[in-house]
Amino acid sequence: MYLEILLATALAVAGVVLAPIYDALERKIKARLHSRVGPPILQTWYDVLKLLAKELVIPEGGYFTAAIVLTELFLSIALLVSVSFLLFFQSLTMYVLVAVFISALSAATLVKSVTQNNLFSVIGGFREYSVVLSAEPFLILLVLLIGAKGVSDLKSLIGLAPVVLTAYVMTARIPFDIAEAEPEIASGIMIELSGPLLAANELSLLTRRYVMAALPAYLFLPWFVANPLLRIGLGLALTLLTWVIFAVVAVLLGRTRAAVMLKGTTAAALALTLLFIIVESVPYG
Amino acid sequence: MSIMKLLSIAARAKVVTRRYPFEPPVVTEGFRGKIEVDPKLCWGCGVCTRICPPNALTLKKREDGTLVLSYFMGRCIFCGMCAEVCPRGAITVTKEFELASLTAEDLVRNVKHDVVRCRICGRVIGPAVEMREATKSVGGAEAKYYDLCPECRKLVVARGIMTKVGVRP
Amino acid sequence: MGEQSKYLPECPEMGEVVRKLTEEYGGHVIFSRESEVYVEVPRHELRDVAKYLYSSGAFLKTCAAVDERPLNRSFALYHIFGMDSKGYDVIVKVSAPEDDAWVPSIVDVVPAADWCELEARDMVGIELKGRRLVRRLVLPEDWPEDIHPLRKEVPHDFRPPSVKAESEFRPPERGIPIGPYHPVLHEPEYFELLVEGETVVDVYYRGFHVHRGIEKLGESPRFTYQKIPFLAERICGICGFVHSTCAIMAMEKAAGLRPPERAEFIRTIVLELERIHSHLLWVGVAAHVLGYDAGFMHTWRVREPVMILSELITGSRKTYGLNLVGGVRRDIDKNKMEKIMKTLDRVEKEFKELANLLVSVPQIRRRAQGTGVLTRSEARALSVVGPVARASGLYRDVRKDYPYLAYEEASFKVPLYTEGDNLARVLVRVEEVFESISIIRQLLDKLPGGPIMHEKCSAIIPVDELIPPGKYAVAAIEAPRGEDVHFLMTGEGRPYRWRVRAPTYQNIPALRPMLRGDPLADAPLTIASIDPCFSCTDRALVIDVRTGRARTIKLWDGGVGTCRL
Ligand code: SF4
Ligand code: SF4
Repeated sequence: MYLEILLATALAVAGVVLAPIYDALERKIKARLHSRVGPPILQTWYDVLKLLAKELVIPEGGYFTAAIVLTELFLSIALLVSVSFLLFFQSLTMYVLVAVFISALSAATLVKSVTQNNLFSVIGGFREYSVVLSAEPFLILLVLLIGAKGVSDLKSLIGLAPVVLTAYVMTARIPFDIAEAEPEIASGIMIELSGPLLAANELSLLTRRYVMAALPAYLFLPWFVANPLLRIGLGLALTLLTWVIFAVVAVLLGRTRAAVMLKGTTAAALALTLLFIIVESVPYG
Repeated sequence: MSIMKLLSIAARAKVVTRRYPFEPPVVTEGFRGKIEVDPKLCWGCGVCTRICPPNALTLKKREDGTLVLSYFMGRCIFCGMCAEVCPRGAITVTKEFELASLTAEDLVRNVKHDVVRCRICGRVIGPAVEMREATKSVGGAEAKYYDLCPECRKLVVARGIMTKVGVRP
Repeated sequence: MGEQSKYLPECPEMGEVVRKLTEEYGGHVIFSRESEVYVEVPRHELRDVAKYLYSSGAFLKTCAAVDERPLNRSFALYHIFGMDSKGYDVIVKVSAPEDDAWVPSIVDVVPAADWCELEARDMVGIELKGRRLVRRLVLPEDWPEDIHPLRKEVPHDFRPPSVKAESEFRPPERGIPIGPYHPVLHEPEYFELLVEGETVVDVYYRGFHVHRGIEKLGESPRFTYQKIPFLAERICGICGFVHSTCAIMAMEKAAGLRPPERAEFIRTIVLELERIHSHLLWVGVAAHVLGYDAGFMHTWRVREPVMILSELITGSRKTYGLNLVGGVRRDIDKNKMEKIMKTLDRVEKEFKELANLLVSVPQIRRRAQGTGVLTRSEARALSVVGPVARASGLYRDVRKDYPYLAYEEASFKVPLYTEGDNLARVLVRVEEVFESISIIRQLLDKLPGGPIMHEKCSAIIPVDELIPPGKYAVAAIEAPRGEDVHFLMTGEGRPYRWRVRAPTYQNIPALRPMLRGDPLADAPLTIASIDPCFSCTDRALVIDVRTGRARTIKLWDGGVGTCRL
């Protein structure tokens, strides 16, 4: 029990450290697909450290925005910890906790955008809201379903599809980056942030991305793999794999118009989730 | 469909960017960078300063009696016109373009020229080398007047003639 | 009027136009050459003349205000009408005595005259009679009322003390500001989009933040004719060669000399190389705006060999410094020819593949199709130019309409689309890249021998004696973004007046009809779709006031110099 708590915590810490490295890896992959050399593997860490070294500028929205940015960082780390615990503890409480942190995190992002007192940020906030609405309810539903019923059958793996889809949407990668779409609304929700606050924002975004890359594996692995060490190994490997796949997908897509894209995503997420529910409710055998 | 196309393009294109500045820059044989003025060849005639479109080359008279051909890279547009018109071939166009510097003075190159003053009235006649070389090519009787300004020279020559023919000036 | 007989046999229509202007409108010919005729008309006839010309198929290229007080104690405004289908220009001059300095406005009959009229007012101080909306276009808010920079008594390096602005700039209440600094505009320029939800309902534009007074500088004692090509080249960082060639063509016309054939071929080849790199640059930026950075990077990768090639041929990747009055400074030898051919083959192959990819990316197609629509009649009324005109079904291309340099030696198509949307503008440019490649190949094939510099000209010989004072010339070139026009009035050893009309100047007013009713997300693409070049546009001074309109929402009625597009 204590060992497992320790392992889960270590896994979460590893996640925080790895997220910026994976991000640099993503930039490397992107660069390769662009025929560029790309940055070194520690580049994102360098960027974050550099931002941390700059002076603290409190944005237009005042201390409230600063507080929210830190809350966001705290919540994303909390989410990472709770998701790491999923690998070892399959009690419903754990799943509920994950669901709560996911929605709390989205809520914090929304609040952050409206406190900034900047037009671009507010537009970004509304866009963020619609992106979240198109995916988050399904993701939470899936997490709770798996927590309540558990999965044990290979056919349950059909549930991976909606989880991966909604997790991708939640990473705010192209084409779901409309909340910050640089050419359109000049970084949107991040426009007022700089220095250490931007670094905190960056870290929480990357941690969130790490969680979303880990989630598919962490939700399904425990039900199929008994050995905890193997779980950890597979969990780490699959997280990296998912991140890489997400990275490649992001290079291949362009940014779509908000309305068109979200309708499609919602429809797909809904259909896949329903499919999973139907498959799950057919009695075993 | 478009995804496969992109992957195939990327696979064939390989990596094309370079680790500049850790690798030498790519410049072609046609490239024009900053210019260099050879102080040994330059006469200080100033032809280049008149053609230079942004006035990156200027000819300045100093208090101490020297003439300075000053090249300021900060203004230079690397057109190479100066090299084209220099009668002495003193200007070479190099391939150097990495000129960033912390002080503007680093971007200035001066070529100093002594001037010849008229030995009678003391007026500056022109850059010393140019005068000397020009006189060399003329040679003979002219050479001994090279350090006279046109006015004084006229006077001296006139006086000489008058003396010769016996008229007292 | 005796000069009429010179061109009459060649071009009967031109004779008819001149007859009409002189006999019916009381004008008289002041100057003419092969494809240009300058007619001075009494100012009260200007509106009728403009109406007649515009309705008989002329486009308005621009107008140029000149302070002619030192010559004849009056101001003058030259409206340059281009008869595209016939290939000649009619330049209509009106004078205004210095103590009664007004000319009639023709904006209501020729909407395209909007900007240049305001510029004339700002820069030379000619009042516009009969114009409803008169505002500052070019001069900043804190510029003193009574100082007009292009008047002759104002020195070129004059810096007036700033005065208190009549009205302060206010941040928008409902609009989305785009600029003056914005990731999509790589130059400072200000757009304000009024949105309802995600739909753009109106647009304001404020420009000329980077006005550098290049025209004034060209008239200053700092410059001589042979230095002006280098100055003109710096009007634009992308199509600089267009400007230097265009300025030179005007000077050569005024001097009455034609550069050797080989020089004309080389200029044409470099102009087309410039078009290729400019279009590739634009296609890349468009992909970036759509969030498709892979398209951006690969287009620029394909473009790079063109830049390297330009450096090899001219000495520089941009601002080539190749041009002089009378010819070019560098020849294209066998070895360079081979390299050009090789590069073109490579670019053609790779860009074909890439263009194919770009139009097949569903996100790009979906967002470019049907957005930013400019109808043919809007395009005609605003006399828009270049790919923007050709994507709206308006067949305009200086290379065909007024053949210059060596363009008659090559056969090429002018891509034409009628949809008028962003996709059409993409496709026009993509196709033009291939046409340019073909033009260069044909010209290299036919490259004539001989010198590359006119025998009367060289880097050392000043050409000032060759260009007599008191001459006029209008030169136009099809730049990558459309028609670029230079108007020249010669003076003693330097221009008396040098007016530059860059293509974007003509196209920005078209953004308003394009943007209205479209989703906000598409606005950056639409703005980018005219391939705006603000440095070019701003070389002089201007701001806009288009026919005002009111909407359901309250309009912010902008500060001085703010314009409604
Ligand atoms: S560099 Fe040449 S042109 Fe210039 S001053 Fe010296 S000699 Fe004359
Ligand atoms: S290269 Fe051109 S700009 Fe530079 S000094 Fe020579 S003439 Fe002047």
